[in-house]
Amino acid sequence: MGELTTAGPWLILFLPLLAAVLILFTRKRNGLSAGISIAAVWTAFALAAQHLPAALEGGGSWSISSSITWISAGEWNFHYGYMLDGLGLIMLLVVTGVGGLIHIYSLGYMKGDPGFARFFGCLSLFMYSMLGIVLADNFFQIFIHWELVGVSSYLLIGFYFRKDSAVEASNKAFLTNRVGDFGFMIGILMLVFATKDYMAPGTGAGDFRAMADVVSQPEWMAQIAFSVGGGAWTLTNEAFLWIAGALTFMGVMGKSAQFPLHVWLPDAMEGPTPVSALIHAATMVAAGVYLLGRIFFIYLPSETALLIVSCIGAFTAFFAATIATTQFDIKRILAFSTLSQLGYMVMAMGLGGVDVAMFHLTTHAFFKALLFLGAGAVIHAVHTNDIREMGGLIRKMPLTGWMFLLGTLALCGVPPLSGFWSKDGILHLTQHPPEYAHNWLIMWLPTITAVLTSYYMFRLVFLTFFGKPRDSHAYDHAHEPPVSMWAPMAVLCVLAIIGGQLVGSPETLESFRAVTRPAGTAEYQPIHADSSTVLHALMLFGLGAGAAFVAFSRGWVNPAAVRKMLGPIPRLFDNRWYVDDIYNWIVAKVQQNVARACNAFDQFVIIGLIVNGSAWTTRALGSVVARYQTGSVRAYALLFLAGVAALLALNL
Amino acid sequence: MNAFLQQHVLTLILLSPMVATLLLFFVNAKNKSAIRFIGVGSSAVCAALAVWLFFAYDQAAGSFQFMQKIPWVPSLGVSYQVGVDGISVAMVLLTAVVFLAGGLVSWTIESRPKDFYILLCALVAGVFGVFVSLDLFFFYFFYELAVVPMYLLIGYWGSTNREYATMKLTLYLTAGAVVALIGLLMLYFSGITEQPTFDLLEMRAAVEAGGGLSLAQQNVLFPILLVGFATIAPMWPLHSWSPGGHAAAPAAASMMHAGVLMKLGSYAIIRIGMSVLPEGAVTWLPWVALLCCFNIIYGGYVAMSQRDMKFVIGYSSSSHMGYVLLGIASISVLGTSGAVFLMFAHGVMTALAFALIGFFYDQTHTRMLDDLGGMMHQIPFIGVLFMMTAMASLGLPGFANFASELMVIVGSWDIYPIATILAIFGLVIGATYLLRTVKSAFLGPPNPRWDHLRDATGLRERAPFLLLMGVLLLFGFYPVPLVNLITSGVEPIVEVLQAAKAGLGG
Repeated sequence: MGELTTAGPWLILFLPLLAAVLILFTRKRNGLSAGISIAAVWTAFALAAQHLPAALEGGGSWSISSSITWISAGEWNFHYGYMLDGLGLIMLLVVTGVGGLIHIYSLGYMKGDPGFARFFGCLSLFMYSMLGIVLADNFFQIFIHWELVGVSSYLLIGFYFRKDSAVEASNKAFLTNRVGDFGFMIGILMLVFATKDYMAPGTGAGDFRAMADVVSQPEWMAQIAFSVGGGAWTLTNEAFLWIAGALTFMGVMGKSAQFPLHVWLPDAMEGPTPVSALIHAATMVAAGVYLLGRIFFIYLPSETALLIVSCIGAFTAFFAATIATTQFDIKRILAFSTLSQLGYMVMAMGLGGVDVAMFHLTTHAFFKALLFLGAGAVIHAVHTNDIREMGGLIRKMPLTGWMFLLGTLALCGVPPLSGFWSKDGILHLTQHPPEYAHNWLIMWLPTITAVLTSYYMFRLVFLTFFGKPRDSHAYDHAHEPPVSMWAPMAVLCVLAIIGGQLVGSPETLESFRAVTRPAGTAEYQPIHADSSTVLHALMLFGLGAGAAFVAFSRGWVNPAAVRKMLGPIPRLFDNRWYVDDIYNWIVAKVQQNVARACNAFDQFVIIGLIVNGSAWTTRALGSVVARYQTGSVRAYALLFLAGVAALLALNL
Repeated sequence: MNAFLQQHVLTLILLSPMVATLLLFFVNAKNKSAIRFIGVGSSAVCAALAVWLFFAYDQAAGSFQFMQKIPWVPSLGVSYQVGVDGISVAMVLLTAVVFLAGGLVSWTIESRPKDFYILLCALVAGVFGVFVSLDLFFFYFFYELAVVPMYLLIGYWGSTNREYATMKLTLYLTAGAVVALIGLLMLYFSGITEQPTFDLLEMRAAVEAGGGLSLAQQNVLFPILLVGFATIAPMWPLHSWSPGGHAAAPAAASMMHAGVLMKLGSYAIIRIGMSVLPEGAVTWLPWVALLCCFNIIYGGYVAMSQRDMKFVIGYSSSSHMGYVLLGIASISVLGTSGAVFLMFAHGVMTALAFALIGFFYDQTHTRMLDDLGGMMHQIPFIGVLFMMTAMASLGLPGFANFASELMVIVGSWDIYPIATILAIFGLVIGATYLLRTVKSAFLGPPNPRWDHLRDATGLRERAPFLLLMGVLLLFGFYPVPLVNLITSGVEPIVEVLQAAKAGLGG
């Protein structure tokens, strides 16, 4: 048993990779391929779950680890291994558990697709990449898996590679993440080089625990990290830390789709719906939040870095929610909602609430996966993504509809569903923020966002499931999904209802917090479900849902008239605040022109002027030199001797 | 057998393609199966010997092993001397792998296969010669031997604009070689050793014993050697021969060219320039670090504007060579080992890319991205392999390229932070044009124009691709054996350079 415990995480990590490789050989046999993939993820879940008692018992101090040398050269050792602690275990269970359910759902959703086996192969590759992030014990390993997650997501978004839009979306996702990783890598290098002289020799490069130890030393903090002009301008490690932290945060912005690197996530909905649920709601996008928790020791000493993180999170939450209010694609609404919720989590991290951010990550994985799977069931049934062509579907697919509604209520934070516990924890945090974050952005935007969330979600629910069918053809063909699809939804639905209560009850909450809260972070009030909190939550919910009810269920207010009244604001939301347009301009105008300029330089200056020019000169010279080509061996020998003599003279 | 190999393995590796060249002269040009058998057979022998060498080289002992010395012209200090350290073993392995794959993909050459294999084998013999020679006379001889066949290979079997490309390539490489020759002769006469000699080991011994040339001499000699050898590397702005040369060359020639020929330049800089002229290297390498930024950024942007797939890969090669030069310039064990590792990884990756392009170009007769598209539907094997190759090239973890680039980047960070930041940005540029290439050529709706394309089937057709991809993945996941091997060769060189750096007060 003891050996299994230390070998377990290795198995968790490599089983999905093994499955992906096996599927290469079994790809002609759909059932077998899916079976391998599903077996791998559930075995990983079981292996992870067996650590749960020990982790809960040990609290914050429990951890197991093991590693091997990946590269070693000179004084550098790059390790590849795992470090499993409470934070990682929670994430591991979420990723394999929710991921496992989505694997099963895919059995039904992807049935009959010519790329069925390929799909499961890619899912397993994704699981390997993702689990590597969760288990990584050093910065370089997490970067490796960061990139691998990027490529698996590229493969899955572009799964329908026949469609140009899917291919474009996959490229966009990859490149946006690369831009984030550019900053991430620089941040990593800064951190690694600033701390390496303080580590014991032989320590793996960028090892989390060793680095945390160094950063916690006050003498390290006071060191000069950087000096320019003979000490005229110096930077202590403390100041250095926030720059490195901000750069590292770029990686988070890429993966967790934070403004302004969020642009890829809505487009990523081009992938099959289970992918949207798995990657773009429950797991991959949560990796950024998880990373913040994992390397919180960098941010802890630096209030500037924390402020940047919290403000970007708060703004993203609000920004994405506004866009969600005007979209008509069911999956895109959910995508913007995901952006918004990720903003909450990132903000909570920035406010020091690692535990509550991880809590929200967990509950969000339940209800958002449920919502995506529900949306998938709807799309599967009506063959359209456009909510204007739906309506009244609850009569044809009541099971899906009611589960979707429960998921929506959970997302809106209605007590006592799971979202209430976690989201209200975050809102509570924003009302009592740490000193550095006392500003309107933190104190007001999240609350407004909560109202917007209820509004756009209920707009979606009313237009999709209630009212009269607007497209009778689609309506007539609508049907409930097969059991392989609704069963995972039902499990998620149960979790979305009780998941928060499960963790949110005082005793378990205490151990959850002990497990996820990094040492040194301040203690926060547990969420009490007292009457004022419940009322507050219900009020925010009522405002948003009420507005949606008035406009989209009863039609007492004409949405078009309101739009007109608001002037240019809805257009701003429609166009996603023009961020995509700015990027398109940069890519099309700036980058392409730089590329063209370089190419022109190469063609005209290097090739045209220098190369062909020198060829021309050579020809001209050649005709002169040809006159001295007498053909006499004696003359050549003389010249040769003169040359050798000249060389000798030069060196004497 | 083992004892015999211990003594003669390098000569055998060298002789194998040479014997093949000679044998091929006597084979009837119509007897294609005999020609293929000899050509591919010699590459298989080389590969087997190279793998044996890889395992037999004693990393713990380090230094030069499997030495053999036969005096040739003692009065001039010329001798046939071969031996390998960790760096050369890696390069020999690279050459053997690419040779084997190149021999296999040339199987289907219908036009004068006899001459084609003769030239290919001669080229490979030259490359092996450079990597194992410890005598500068032979080093230079083999260097020229490697360059000349390329001229004929492109001139006869080439495509796009081949006359221009082949002239340019030959002129550039010859000009570079002449400059290098001048440098080598100056080194020969410089009095670094008591008697003028071409023996590299004697020169190194003199340097390590504290002798060596004066700083002024080194500062003159190093740039001459640098320019001479960097032409083939190719270092910006001497790169112009390379993309056009790649594009015009037939698949196997492109593979050898980008895979191994270009590595001769950086190898020579390490083997001769840095080993024998440490102070000169310390003075001049920062300039190399500056120029390599142009390679990386500028090369990347030029690649972005290309429409011909071979030009994309060609410019991307020159961009990647920037990372090699950066790693070399960093003079750290990690960075310089990373550079050598990257030479290996890039050689395999780029050979694979050219082999794949060659495979469909034989059928499509176009490599223009605007003409291609959706080929994943018709030729999925080639498509998937090309996508993986592009991923390797853009530095995705799991492939050897990432591991080596990471070493270069980490190794150069505290020495050239700005160049390193640009190098990291180069990865973004690389992803941009490589993903676009994959998209334009292979993804999107199927194009009926390519319905007639035939995918690679059967072991013989697939083997070269799988071999190269397997090598990339193997050393991407588990780089330890190769990195340790390379490090054992890099460490002594870097030690001398670090001492020189300290001596110069920098």
